[in-house]
Amino acid sequence: MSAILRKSSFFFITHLCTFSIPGLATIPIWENAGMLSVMALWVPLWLSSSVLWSERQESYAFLRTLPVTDRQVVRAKFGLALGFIVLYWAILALLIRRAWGASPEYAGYMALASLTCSLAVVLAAVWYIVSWRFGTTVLTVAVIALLVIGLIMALAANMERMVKTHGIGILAPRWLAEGPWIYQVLLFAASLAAYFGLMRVAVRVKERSKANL
Amino acid sequence: MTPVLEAKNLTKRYHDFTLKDISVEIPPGSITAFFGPTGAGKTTLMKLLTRQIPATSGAVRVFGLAYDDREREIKSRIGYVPQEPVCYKDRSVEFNARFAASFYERWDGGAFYRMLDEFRVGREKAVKRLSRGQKTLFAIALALSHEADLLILDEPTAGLDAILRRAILERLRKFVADGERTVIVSSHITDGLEDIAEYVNFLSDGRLVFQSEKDELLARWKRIHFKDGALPPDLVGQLADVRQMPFGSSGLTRDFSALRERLASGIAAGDVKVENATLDDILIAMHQGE
Repeated sequence: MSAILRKSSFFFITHLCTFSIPGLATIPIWENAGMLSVMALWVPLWLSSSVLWSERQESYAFLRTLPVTDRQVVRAKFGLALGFIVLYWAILALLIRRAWGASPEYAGYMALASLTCSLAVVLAAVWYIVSWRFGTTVLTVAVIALLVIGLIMALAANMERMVKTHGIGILAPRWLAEGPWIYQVLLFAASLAAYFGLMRVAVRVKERSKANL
Repeated sequence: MTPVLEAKNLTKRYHDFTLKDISVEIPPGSITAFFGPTGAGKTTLMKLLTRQIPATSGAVRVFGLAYDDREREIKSRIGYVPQEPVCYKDRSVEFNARFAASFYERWDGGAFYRMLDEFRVGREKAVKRLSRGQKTLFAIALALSHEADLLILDEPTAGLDAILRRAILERLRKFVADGERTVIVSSHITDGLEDIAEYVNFLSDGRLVFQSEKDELLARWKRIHFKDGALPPDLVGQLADVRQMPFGSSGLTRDFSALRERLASGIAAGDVKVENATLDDILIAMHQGE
């Protein structure tokens, strides 16, 4: 594994754990595993936090002194973000299957997981670009705001309400939950296309910016 | 001779400072120094030459290659020593070395640790706990451990004691001894560097004021001492850094050959004495002239 991936992964994982704790504490997670899908919205937050940390102080400046191009840095971090989101989606799918397999709620929770993970992919890309364009410090306020929003959403989309609506609560659109499975595939494909498009933008932004140096 | 590094019309614009239109060619197998007062743009230039920061305009080619196409290859052949080492300062010297080593194909860990031992830099120590001199030595050891062909150092001797300064300069001299490898160094002090640099450049207020071979520069610039009354009044305007001394005056000339004939009789009579100017003298005169 390359040093960039190794170093960034460390921050991804530590932040994942750190930011998961308050979220997990607000919901009876083991009884209502489907709630984890709401937490997918926090994935970009973890990712951006990792950027904040993996490029903090002189870390990125150090990297610039080494034989590494900005393109490599961007690709490694985008790849890592995508990998984590896909992994997160897979875990959610397993948990939802286990909790609601063959029940009416299953489709609703899967739709919710797919939607939030698809949004998370694009949000992560935008987050990267903003932090590379303006520096990681400007994101501090945004990170806190997103954390608060995430907590409120997790509380608002409580289990009782979602069960009553067969998992199709305020966060999971009916068209996605009740439509054919291909809709979810198309949704993820669209977000992937946006993600790779944004990665090209990110390379240009990173090469021209001296933020984090 | 193909230059090892070539910069053309390099410009970097900040809101409060601009490094303007720098064009230089660095010959291989040499030590080239960039001098200039604090804030002249030396660090910005070193960062541009090593692609630490993007240029506003202009181009740099190193080893005949352009950064846009071959950045990784170029950087793997450059050893860069920043003014203040940039790394994971909370982590140990060894951790930082391992991290850096993973990016180089030709990393010589043995050479790195030998240099640390020689410089007495503790490998388990966090970088932030090293002294100023040790940090520089650590950065130099990092830069010298991947068999670089070009070493670029930004103020490597600033704030160091005479012994360390000499040790570093000796390293640089050895580095270029085979005639294949090249050193570019920036400094606001000439102390010691004037002995080893073959080419000198002077930066002032973001502009490259002059570039020259050091020997040629020292051959042209002379300090002339005049006994009381021996300094012709019309010559005062042609001299730089004119000083009144207890028994006469002295001044610097940028081109002694133009005055040689005129001063010949004074020299013969012992009223005029000519001595080599130091690089410091020249740089100060240049700066005042600016």
